Amino acid sequence: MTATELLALSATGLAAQIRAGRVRCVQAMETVLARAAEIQPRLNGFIRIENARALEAAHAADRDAAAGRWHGPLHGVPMAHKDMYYRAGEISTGGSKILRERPAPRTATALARLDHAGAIQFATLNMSEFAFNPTGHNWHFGHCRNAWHADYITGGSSSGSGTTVAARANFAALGSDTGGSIRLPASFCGTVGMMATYGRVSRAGAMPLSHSLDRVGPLTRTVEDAALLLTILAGADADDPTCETRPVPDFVAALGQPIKGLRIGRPTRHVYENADAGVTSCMEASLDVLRRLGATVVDVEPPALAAAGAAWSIVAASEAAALHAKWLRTRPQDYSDQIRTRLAQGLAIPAHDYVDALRMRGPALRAFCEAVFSRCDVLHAPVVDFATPTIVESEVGGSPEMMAVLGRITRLTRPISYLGLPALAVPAGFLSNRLPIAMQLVGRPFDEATLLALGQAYQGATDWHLRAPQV
Amino acid sequence: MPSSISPQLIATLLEIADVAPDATRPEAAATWLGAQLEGIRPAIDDLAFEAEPAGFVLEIHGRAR
Repeated sequence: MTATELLALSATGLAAQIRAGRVRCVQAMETVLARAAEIQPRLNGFIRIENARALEAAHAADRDAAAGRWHGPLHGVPMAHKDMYYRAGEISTGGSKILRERPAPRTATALARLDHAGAIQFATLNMSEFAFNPTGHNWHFGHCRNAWHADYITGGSSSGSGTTVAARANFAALGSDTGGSIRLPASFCGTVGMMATYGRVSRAGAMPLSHSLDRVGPLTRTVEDAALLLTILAGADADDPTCETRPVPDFVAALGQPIKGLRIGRPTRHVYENADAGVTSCMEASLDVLRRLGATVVDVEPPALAAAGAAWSIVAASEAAALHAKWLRTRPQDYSDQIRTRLAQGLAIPAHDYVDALRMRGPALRAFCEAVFSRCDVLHAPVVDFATPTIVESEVGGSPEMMAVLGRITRLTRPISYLGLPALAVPAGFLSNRLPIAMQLVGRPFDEATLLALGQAYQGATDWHLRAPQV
Repeated sequence: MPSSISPQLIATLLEIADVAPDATRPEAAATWLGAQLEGIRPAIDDLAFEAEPAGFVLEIHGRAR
């Protein structure tokens, strides 16, 4: 198998090759490390690459495989994670200058579960500072660049997760999503992004940004990989009291559930009000594919999405400001201008408005489910409603227009984050600038299985996810 | 659009938090915050008196069962 063929494998595909003895773990690791070194000068997707440790782990995985000691479904598969997942005693920068100095206090549950499944973490990935920026700019570690065209943004905050998976320099990545940070890089970079229901995946040991909104999830090449990773990551955790305690479904087994008869909701308000024609056209084409697969498309009117977006802003800004208040007092110069400006304005939100934004969350979820999921099984929408901007175009720093620019990018992702619903971003074509775009499939609470089955069927009928950028 | 929040209030609240007033841009922050608060006001006014923040957790986990 050539390096190109090996790097084109999905994580699931590579795991099967390793299990069948056709690829050695060391071979996979050497190949991905070479590819990572090749693309890093152009894309800046990595923060730290652990060559020696990764190779040592790959050798150990080969020895264990030879002895019949298989560690799990990802035995020997190289992965990398957004640099905000803690490993006890090691540095997780959070894309920041401040956390560069602090050894992590514990190991993240998500990392521990991937370790247990046999994955080998070979690197940490670039990200927006403190996960608080949707473009992928980072003024401490350098801006992350899009694998399809290095002048364009990756989206953030899981910027390195998106671009390294797209560039075939990483088989799968751990990201996180507070207001779009998995779905945006998935859409801009052409990968799959899974944000499970709030409470499905433990956030313990993941750097917090907003406790009420943070979610942990994967960015992958295929929906099948996302299903496998979610099966590994999900489930109760005594260290995260928000976790659902009911048993986790086998999301891989559920991929085959029938699509015929599923009702797909096409929103008639808010979502397409400002959408570029190219985005609308791609979304209509993706709905045609779903119709051909046997789904029915129905119009739905999602209520109060703009209010949900505003409430998200109040909750996120308040909670982030609380987390950062001490450093804003003592080390303001160690933040970039944009992140300090955003964090500090959260200090000005009246306490009763923060509480009100949380009080309206339950009723908003109930109203949304009754209006939308009484008529359809899955809501279909774009992740973003306009073409990918360049890094220069979206370099707003901490300027007065910053919030308008950042708000436009997250206009369709923040409401879903606020409602706590699961969403799956799936590549759904290319715009006229030759950059990818994704559809966002939104499901009922804890019904990730339906989203994954629909995404899997869609990828079976399309080839967007098989196209690779020329980096 | 004029904001319902004054930049002076933003600066004062930063002072209360003991954060340097130039940590943010009070004019822009006032405009942004005013817009967010206006965005949620109708929904807040419709809330039941008894609605509490924990309602969301009950709602979303309740729908899992």
